[in-house]
Amino acid sequence: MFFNSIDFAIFLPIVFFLYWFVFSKSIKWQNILIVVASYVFYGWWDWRFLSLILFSTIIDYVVGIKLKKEEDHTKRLILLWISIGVNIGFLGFFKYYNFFIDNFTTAFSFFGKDIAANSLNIILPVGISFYTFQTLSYSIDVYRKKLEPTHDFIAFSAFVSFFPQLVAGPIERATHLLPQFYKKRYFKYHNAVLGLRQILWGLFKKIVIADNCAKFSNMIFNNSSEYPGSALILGAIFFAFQIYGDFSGYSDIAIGTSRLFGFDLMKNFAYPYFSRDIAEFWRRWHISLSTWFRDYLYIPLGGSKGSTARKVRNTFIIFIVSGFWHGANWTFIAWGALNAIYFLPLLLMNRNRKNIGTVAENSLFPSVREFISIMITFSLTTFAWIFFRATSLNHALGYIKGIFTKSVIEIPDLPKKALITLILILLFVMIEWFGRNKEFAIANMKIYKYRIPKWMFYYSIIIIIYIWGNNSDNIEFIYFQF
Amino acid sequence: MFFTLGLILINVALILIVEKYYNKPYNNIPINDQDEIFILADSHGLPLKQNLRESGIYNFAIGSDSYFDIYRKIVYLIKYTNMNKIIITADDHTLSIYRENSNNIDRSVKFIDYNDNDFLLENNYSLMKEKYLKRYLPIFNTKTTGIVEGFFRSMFKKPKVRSLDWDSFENKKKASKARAKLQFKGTNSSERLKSCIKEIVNLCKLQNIKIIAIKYPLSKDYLTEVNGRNFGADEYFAELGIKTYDFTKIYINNDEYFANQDHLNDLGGKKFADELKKRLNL
Repeated sequence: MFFNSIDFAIFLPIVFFLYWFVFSKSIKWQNILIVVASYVFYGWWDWRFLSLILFSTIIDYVVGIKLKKEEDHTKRLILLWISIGVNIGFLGFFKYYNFFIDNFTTAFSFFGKDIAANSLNIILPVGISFYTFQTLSYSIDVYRKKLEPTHDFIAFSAFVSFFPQLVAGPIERATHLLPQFYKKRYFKYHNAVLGLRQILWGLFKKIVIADNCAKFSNMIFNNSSEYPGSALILGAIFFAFQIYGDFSGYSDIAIGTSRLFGFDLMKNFAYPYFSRDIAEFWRRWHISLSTWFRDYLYIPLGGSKGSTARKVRNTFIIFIVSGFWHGANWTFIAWGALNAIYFLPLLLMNRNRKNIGTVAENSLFPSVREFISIMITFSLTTFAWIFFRATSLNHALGYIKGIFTKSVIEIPDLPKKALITLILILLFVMIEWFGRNKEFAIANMKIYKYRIPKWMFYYSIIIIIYIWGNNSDNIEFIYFQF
Repeated sequence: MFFTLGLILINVALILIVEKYYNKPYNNIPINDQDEIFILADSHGLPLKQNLRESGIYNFAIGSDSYFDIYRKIVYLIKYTNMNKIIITADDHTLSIYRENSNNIDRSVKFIDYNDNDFLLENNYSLMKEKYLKRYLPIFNTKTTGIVEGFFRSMFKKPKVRSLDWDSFENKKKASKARAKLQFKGTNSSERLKSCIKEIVNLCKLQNIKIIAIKYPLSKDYLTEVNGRNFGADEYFAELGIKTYDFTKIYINNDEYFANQDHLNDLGGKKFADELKKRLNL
C-alpha cells in the first residue's frame, strides 16, 4: 500500500480509530491491531511475501530467547549466525541471486569457460532490505547483551512489521523501538497535530517535488544521448531532488504516522543538501542506515582506529557495502566507491567532524565560505547520483562524457513544466533553509501562533499538492525497490 | 473541527466542478429501455449525433472511450435495454497504447455494479474505490486536476474557439502530423485492449447480440500522415469472426465534411449517418 494512495487514506483513519477508540485500554490488543494492520499494509502488494516476514520474526524471536539462556560462547555465536544466515540468506536470494549468477557467468566466459547457469525470474519483496536489517539489529544487540530479549511475541512481531516504517525505514534499532511496544501509549493532541503536519510535508516532498522531478530526470536519463550537456546537468539536479524528496518525504510520512499512534521514530534526514562537506552529508543523509553500518560493520572492523591502510580499507568497505545494499548493480558499487573517495581525504586529515552543528546557526543566510562549501558538496553529491541513477556503468560514463562537451553552454530545450518544477524546487529549498534547525522544515513556524494564517498555510500546501502534483499515475517510492 | 470543515468545503467545490465539466456526459443518459441498436465509439462517433434515432439506433459514443469503457457500457445495456445489435469502432488507433492510457475508465465505472464481472476491477473493494471514493473525493483522483485547472483558467481567460472547418484550415499537414504522432506512438498494440475485445465478442455471442465493426471516415491529409499504420483492431475482429466495414476513405476528397483531420463535422455526420443506414441496411 502506498502512502500517497487512496487506499492508505482509508486504511489510516480506520486503524487510528480502532487503535484509540476500541483497543485503547489494552496494550496487548493495540499491539495485535498493529500487527494485523501491518500485515494488511504489506500484504496489499503481495500476500505471499508475508511468509518471509513471519519466518524472520519467528527465527529472531527464538534466537533472542535462546541467546539469553545460552552461556557457551560458541553456541551463542552459532545462534547469532543462524539469525544472520536466515536474514541475509533471504536478502541474498531475492536481491542478489541474479546479480551473482550473471557476473559469475560473465567472469567464467571471460576466461574461456562457458558455464550453464540460469538466472531466475525473482520478484523482489518490497522493503526486504529494511526489515531484515531491523531484525538483525535485534539479534546482534541481544548477542552483545545490550538488549534483553523479549518474551512477548506480539510486541516483537509489531516491532518487526510496524507498518509506518516497514518498507522504507527509518531502520529502527530494537533498543529504541521495541521498548515502546511494552509501554502504554497516550494520545497527545499536540503530538498528533505535529504528526499530521509532518505527513503533509512528506506528501508535499513526494508528490510535488519528487514526482515532478522524476518526470524530467527520467526523460533526460532515459534519452541522455539526445540532450546537450546543460540538460544533462539539469537531469542530474532533478534526480538529486527527486531522490531527496522521495525518500525524505517517505521518512516524514512514516515518522508522522508513527506519532499518530504514540510512537517516536528516529530522524532519518537532517537537511543533507545544506552540508558543508561530504562527512557532514553522510551524517545527515539516511541517518538510520549510516548509523546501522557504523555500529554493526564499521566499528567492529576497527572504525577509524589503527593504521592508515586500515582506515582506508574500512572506509571503502562501508561505502561499497552501503552502495551494494541499495541494489544489485555495479552502478551502486561505483556510487559507494566514489563517496568513499570523497570521504577519505577528510578522514585522513582528521577533518571529518569539522562541521557538526547547524549551518549558519545564528544568522539568516550562510557566509560566502559556507555557501561555497554547500555548493561544492551538493555538486559532488549530484555528480555521484549520476552513477546511482544510471542503468549501467556505461550509461553513467556516457552521461558524464555528455556533460563535458561544448554543449554544456547551450540553453536546454525542455518543456515549460521543467521551469515550473525548478521554481518549485527553489521554493522548497527556501522553506527547508528557514526551517533547518527544526526537526522537519515546517515543524515549528511562527504562523502557528495564529489560527487563520496557519490554516491558510495548510490549505495552500494541500492545494499545491492537488494542482502541482504530477497527475500521471502514482509514481513508486524509489527506496521501495531496495 | 473548522479546519476539517474547510477541507470538506474544498472537496464539495471540487465535486461540483468535476460533475459539471467532467462527469456530465456520463450522467442522465436518455436511453430508452426499448432501444435495440447502439453505436459504441470514441470521439469519431460523436458527429453522428442522434441522427439515426429514427431508425432505432442510439448513439452512445463518448470522446476517448476505449474498449474497456465500451465493455462496461455493453454490460449496462444488456441489463437495462433490449439491445440486439452494436455498431462498434474498429479504427486503426483503437488498439494503441495511447488509447489504453487515455480513456474514460474513471467515469465508465458508473455502468458497473457489484455483481458484474468487470474486465478491469478485481474485487468489490476496487469497484467501491473507483466508483464512489474517487468520485466523491476528487482530491484523490489525479485526473480531475486538469479539469479544475481548466475551470480556473477559463475564469480568467476566454478559451480559444477551435475552428470546425477543416476545408479552410491552413495548416492541415501540421495538424494531421501532430495528431498521427499522438495516436500512433510506438509500434506495439495493447494486449489488454485486445483481450477486452475478445471479452466483448464472447459476451455478445452469449447474449445473441450482433456486432458490426466499422472504421470511421478520415481526411486525406490525415490518412497520408498515418501512412498505413494500424494497430489492427479490424484484423483482430476478423480473427474473431466479425466483419469490419471500412469507411475511412469514403470522403477522401470531401474536406468540407470534416471538422478537423479525423473528425467529421455536422454536415459530414449527417451524410455518414445516411451512408451507414444504406450500407448496413439499418
